[in-house]
Amino acid sequence: MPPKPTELIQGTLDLLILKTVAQGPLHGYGIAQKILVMSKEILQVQQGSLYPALHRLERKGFVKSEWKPSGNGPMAKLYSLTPAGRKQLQEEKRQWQRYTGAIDMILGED
Amino acid sequence: MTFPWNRAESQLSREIAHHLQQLTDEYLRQGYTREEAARQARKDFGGAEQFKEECRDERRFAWLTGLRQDIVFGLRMMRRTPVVTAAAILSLALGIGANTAIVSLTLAILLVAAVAAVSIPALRASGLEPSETLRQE
Repeated sequence: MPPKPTELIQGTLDLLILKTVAQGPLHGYGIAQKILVMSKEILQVQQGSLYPALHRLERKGFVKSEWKPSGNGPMAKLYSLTPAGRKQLQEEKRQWQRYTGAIDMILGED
Repeated sequence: MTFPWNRAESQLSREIAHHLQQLTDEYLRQGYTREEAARQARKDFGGAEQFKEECRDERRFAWLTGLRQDIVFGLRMMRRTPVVTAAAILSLALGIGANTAIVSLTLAILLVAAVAAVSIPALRASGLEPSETLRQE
């Protein structure tokens, strides 16, 4: 039996969203799927919690949204990264790497 | 029919309905019954109403943030060009002052004259003599 998916650490959802929409416009469901696939099904986001995060990122100007026909289906709201969002992604990525690097240094101290 | 003031609301509903539909479709593909698929989708999604409310909070907050930014920006621009700001404030002050003065004066003259013009004949018609003050006005 595969291990249960891991809950996200508080505050990492924004970073993951920015990363997933960096490669092209996605709707909420697409973002959830992509996070699952890219993390080899280890990370599971509570799907509904994407929306407050997306709307917050949009208000801050890091993502923009557009209604477009999605594939074969009806119109979907597609989110994509803005230039400000790209900068924010770099910044948050750097912070995350610093943070995990520091934790690793402590944990690796045997 | 969508009114501009609830466009955001209906878009939010559509957005979330779309997500639930895709989750449901995925479960249908996996062979779940229609009811079971819808139930699983709702479970995966979590409390839709709660998330919607959080999205609405973002919108309300956005308005406030925008207002704050505008005010701060306005004040900063005013501080950067003190001469223009002073000129603008002075013209406003003079404009308002002059207006108030003229309107007060006009009202005093016209209104008193009008009162006298209407009331003196009216008083005489009813057999009364207007007072000295009223006749002088």
